[in-house]
Amino acid sequence: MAETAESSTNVTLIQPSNLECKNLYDYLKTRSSAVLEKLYNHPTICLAVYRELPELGRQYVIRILFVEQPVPQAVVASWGSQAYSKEHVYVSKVLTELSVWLESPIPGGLTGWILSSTFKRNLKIALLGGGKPWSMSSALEVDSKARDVSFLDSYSMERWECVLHYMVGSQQQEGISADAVRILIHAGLMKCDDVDGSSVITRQGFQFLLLDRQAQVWHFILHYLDTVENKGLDLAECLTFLFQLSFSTLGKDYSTEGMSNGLLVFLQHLREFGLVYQRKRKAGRFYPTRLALNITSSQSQALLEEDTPKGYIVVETNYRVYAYTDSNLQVALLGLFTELLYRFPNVIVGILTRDSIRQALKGGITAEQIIGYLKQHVHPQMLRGEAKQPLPPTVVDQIKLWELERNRLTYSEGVLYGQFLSQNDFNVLREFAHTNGHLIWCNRDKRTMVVSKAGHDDVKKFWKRYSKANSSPHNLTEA
Amino acid sequence: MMMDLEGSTEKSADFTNTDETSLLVIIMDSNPAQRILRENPHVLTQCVDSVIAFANAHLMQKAQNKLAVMACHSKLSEFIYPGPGKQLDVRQIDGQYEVFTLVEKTIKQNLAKILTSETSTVITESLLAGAIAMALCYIHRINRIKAPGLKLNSRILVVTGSGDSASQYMNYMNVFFTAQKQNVVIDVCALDQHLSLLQQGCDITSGMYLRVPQMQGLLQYLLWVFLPEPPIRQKLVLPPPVKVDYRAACFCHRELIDIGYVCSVCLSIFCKFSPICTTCHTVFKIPSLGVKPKKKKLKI
Amino acid sequence: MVNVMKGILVKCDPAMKQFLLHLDETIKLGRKFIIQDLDESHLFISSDILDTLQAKIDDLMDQISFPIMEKTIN
Repeated sequence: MAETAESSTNVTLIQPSNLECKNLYDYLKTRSSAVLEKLYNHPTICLAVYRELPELGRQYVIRILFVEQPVPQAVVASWGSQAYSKEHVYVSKVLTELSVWLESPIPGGLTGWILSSTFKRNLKIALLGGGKPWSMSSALEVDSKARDVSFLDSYSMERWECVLHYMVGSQQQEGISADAVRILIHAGLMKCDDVDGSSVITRQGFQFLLLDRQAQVWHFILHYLDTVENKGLDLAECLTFLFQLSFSTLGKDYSTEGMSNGLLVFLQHLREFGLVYQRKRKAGRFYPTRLALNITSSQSQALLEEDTPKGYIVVETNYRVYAYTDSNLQVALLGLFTELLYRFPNVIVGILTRDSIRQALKGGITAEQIIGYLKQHVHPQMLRGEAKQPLPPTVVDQIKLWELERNRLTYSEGVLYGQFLSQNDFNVLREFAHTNGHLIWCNRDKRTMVVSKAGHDDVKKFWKRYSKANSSPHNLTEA
Repeated sequence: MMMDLEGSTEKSADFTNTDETSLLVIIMDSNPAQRILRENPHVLTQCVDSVIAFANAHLMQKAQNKLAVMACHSKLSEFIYPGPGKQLDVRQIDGQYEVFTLVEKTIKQNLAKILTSETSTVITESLLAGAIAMALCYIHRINRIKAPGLKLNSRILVVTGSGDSASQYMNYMNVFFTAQKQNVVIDVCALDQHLSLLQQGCDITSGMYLRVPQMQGLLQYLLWVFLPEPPIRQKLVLPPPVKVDYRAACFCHRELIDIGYVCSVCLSIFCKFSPICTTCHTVFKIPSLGVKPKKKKLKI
Repeated sequence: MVNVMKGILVKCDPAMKQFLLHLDETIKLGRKFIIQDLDESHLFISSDILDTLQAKIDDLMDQISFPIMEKTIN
């Protein structure tokens, strides 16, 4: 069987491996409670975690922030109104998973919630003061060559686009460091070409390009953090510094005084990606840029118009797309899912067609990502109208329909078990597969079931053991 | 084919946060003529501290939340955060978040300026209606310069220990209805007496009204009742609205009345009959025995 | 005696299933590929046919859709 040649395409059809975007919550959830406890020793992290909590959770925490005894669970439950009890359950789960609050018995046989003492102490410090200053806030002389916000913006933009340009392989930009390339490969955004060893962008890489800037940075940094420990840096230290950075003020300079060697290395990496600006490596001060600010917040639109990057895309109800841009990167990205018609010095015109969208879908980009990209870069003129939606609803729906039409069949690789001799055998095996989460389809009357490919080995072993124990002539014939 | 076009996006956003920015304008009554301040001036310090902590708690909710604080005095109302002029240059002195330190320092500094410039000893009431009007203008300005397509929830919180007085009745009603029109919620936290006029404002703009039973717990009351933004208030059990006293004040003596005379032209209210309407100068006939007086019953 | 077969479980709407059965019966893909007809919305097919099948379905979709507008106005 020509397995090797086909498997790559097969895989994409069977399990579209989409770019997985973790937010801070997903990231921290997977850490052990000991690690969390260690992280909560820093007010910055408590602040970041607090902001990531669901709305209701934030209210709960603030209500018991100044309470020293555990609060009965029933009392906490009574704070939310009846109609939203599901949300209450969800919020309680999140708070428990992040070890923000802990279960604690109350005299009288009730269980109550109490905030983790480390978390409580440090959140109070962040809110009300006290404790030690953060590591980067040593006093500084006034910078003789202070940089203003617009300089920092263009600097960070340029650095970050360098990474993106590298990914799409456009040659005109300067290269990026080997470290950055390794991170891209580690994150699965690029892969080494077998033929000549150069790196090429993957499917996830394209999806990555369509994310908004904030999400790109966060995703990239998360994968970077995965590798810091190999480089001999302390994860908690880096994470703390990252959050300190994210709570700093744009346009202000901060001191590198008292930073450990590891952190200085980390700072140089951040400098490369444009998260901080430093005039010289040994300058003793650095400026955080907009990329580093509020790195965790999933929605980062600034309030004031001047602070937001300008959108440039106009989509009309006749499926035409006008993009006011001269950036090759943006043109290339649009070209992923539009058919480009004309190009002028400052604008390109394209059209969304079934073919162009399908091309993108085949490449593994989802309709949601296409719509998200258009929405996020929509021209301010499109937002000013009376309509609530920035994009024409017909176009949005049509893109989704084009995607759905491809998904009329869903495939899952599996193994069919059939021709059981007795109902009992079938039930036993079905029960086993079901409890282990391998069962994907079954029919009692036909005594037929399908288990996932991954679970096949387990189920097979179980069946052999089972039939041996019953010493019956149950053979397994594999086709 | 499944025609569920919305489903996929809705599901993930089920319990997560709403992507809305919230602007809170706090109006703090700093008039030294308030009864609680006359009895014990230290209450002001406590009150300011609580308000600052509350303001910072609001900023802590979301990175994009915005804040403005005003001091309302007997003669003027002024923004004390963001203050006039250049921002203070604040470096961290302890573990507090830089932005919060900035808020605290700015508020205290500007408030001190206002209090020290106060010289007159004449007791006059706080110009709360004027302060609310200024807050509305501020909100309106922010709304105009905000990025297009962004949703901004604005609200005003009034923290005051002043007594109820009907002398600003007209101004109150004007700002309340303007706020209602602009979708601005007015919350009122009464420190001393029950304030029936401001309570009407809360009711009109669907805000919260709370009279704090004891000053020691001010911060907790603020955090419990006023911190949740209007969109999530429905998810929480908060003090239920009580019956609101909707009596109007007459235009001649500024007194709350149950029954009065209403000008048929401009709807001004008077407690006594007057032959010429003071607002629109319409001339009325003096009611004689034969003519039924222009008497209308108002809502009670 | 239990029979075990590797393949791919296909979940689809009944109309699509009929189309797949038709492809199978008429040997449109060069050979039979359905291993077992499970129920009205599930089929079990051999895994090596997947790409050919997807291409065939794409063809079908192309046939039953028409361009919403003229592509270019020349």
